[in-house]
Amino acid sequence: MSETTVPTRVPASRQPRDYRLDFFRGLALVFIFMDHIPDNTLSYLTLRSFALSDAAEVFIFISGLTAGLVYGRALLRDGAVMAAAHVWRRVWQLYVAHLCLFMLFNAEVSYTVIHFDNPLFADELRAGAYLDRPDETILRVLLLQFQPAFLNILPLYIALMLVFPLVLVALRWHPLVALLPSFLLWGAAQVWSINLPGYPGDGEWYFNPFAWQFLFVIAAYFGFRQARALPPLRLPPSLLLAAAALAVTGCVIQATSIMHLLFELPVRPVVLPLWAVDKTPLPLLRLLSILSLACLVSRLVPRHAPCLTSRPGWLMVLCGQQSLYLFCFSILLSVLGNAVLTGLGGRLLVQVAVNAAGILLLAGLGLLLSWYGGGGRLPERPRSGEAAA
Amino acid sequence: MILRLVCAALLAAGAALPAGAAAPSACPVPEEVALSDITLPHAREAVATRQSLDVLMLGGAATLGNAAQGDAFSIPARLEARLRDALPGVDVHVTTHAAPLRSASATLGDLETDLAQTGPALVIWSSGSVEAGGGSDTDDLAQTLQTGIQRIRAAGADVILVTLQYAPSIARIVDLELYRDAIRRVGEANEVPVLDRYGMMRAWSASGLLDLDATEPEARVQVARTLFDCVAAALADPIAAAARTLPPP
Repeated sequence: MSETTVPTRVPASRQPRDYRLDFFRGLALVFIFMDHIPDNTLSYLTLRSFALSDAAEVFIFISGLTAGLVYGRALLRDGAVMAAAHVWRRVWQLYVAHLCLFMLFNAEVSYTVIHFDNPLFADELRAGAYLDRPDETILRVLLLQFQPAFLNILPLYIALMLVFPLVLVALRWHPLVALLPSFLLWGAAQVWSINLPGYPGDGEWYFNPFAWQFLFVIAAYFGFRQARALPPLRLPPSLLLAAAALAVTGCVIQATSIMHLLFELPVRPVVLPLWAVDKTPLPLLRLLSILSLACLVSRLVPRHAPCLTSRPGWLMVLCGQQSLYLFCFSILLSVLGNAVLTGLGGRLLVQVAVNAAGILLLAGLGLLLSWYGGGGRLPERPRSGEAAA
Repeated sequence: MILRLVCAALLAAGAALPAGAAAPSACPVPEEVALSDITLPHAREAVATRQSLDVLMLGGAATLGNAAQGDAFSIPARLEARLRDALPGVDVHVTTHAAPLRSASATLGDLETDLAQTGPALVIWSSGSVEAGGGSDTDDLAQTLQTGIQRIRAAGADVILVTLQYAPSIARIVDLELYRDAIRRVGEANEVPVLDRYGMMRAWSASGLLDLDATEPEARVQVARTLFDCVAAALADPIAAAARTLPPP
């Protein structure tokens, strides 16, 4: 979600903006759109088919990095109280966006229950059971305890941002003051499965915030270094090698199992047990996977890579800069896209058309919002030569 | 080895021939989700030594099959008919222990009693729906199934897991795939065959074979009957083949 909206007197950045963040966040939004359409064959082309982590990790990592950078600058410039105010204003926007998405989801559930009332699922799966208790449901939604399918990443982001001012202050003190407790909390979540309560029943949060905060804080640490204008960390070659090895292994494991599923390849894929790759507690494999990818990207994609400012790359950058709106829009589009697929029979050609239309609409909204934000003008696309200067 | 394959192929071909109550399945099972080359040592032994096959089906409302309006059209009834046809001379009994909105952990709670009462050679366990509807933790489901598999094996029976049902309208509002993936991973980790009912239903829905979101009352009953028979066939053919396969010398 773009932190570009921190208002007031933000001085021009000391260094030019790192478009890699915008670009990959834009890409993650496109992936989230595609992954949220159930049974979308084209979603086999997104990150989750090539790595042990997926767009959710990318999204949280980049959001943490950006938050560390933007609110870190606010902290250094205006002090902790003002920085906290900026963060919490953002939290409020996220909360409103989440409630708005819930209303849309609710409409869809109501329609499904009223119109289809599918007997195959009667007493089998109580979709929309929460509609029987609107009084309690409203409360649980407001408390972020009730998180319907596909609407669980915003509550995580809200929870992470809510305590982010503390993280910032800790980071300013010493990185370890933030990183060490964060690591211990993640460890506790792994060992004892502590999680926030969900709804209904004894449900829990789909993205365990006690686990996922570690990724966010690690990313925020890198962002805060940039806010302090410290030089990027020099990663030893052995670490990069290990990262590359892990990324390649993850890619092979995921890709072979997808190929097996799609083309019935004779090789028997390695299927990891669920606990090793379960998204809820962000287990070690998923964490290492996203950190390796981040290492590799920061090393292999230069800050001023020409592809970022090429026309399609720049479109992705603009999308990444408007990420809260585009995130909400992508959820809406995946719902609509899914309805179209159901109506038209979900053949591959229709799927391609739906994916393409969705991505075009996302990019269109990205352009529109950038144009609006620029007071009726699109931000100028840097020529690759001058950006490097 | 080759001889074994040929035998299996001949037997499988034989199983597909229409005979008596069991007409060929109306729904082709996509190869990537079909149960193929499964081994069921306990079922095979029961057939070889006692000429009997007791199957226990565990699950929820979809196993009871009320949507088909008639017990004879439920998956267990169709499975029994198809297995009897495919295994002539074998005394096949399919017992059902299912209840509306029954979770996997409730099934696990009754498992010891169910196993002791029925003494099955094969347990077919459908799960995931209640968990998906309530949005509960997929890893909890995985661990419940894992424990159940161990108990079933300890009781001397084979297991087949069945993934949850699919319908386009439900897939839009509930993340079904998450639970299907959890069940498949448990099966893979324990070398237990998994019948991917979700995958089959999605394929049948996408190809227009079954309108899983039909709203006309008569069409709904017809779809449920066809569906349950197709699921039963997707189970019966590989089970019969595995139960008849001769053990390697």
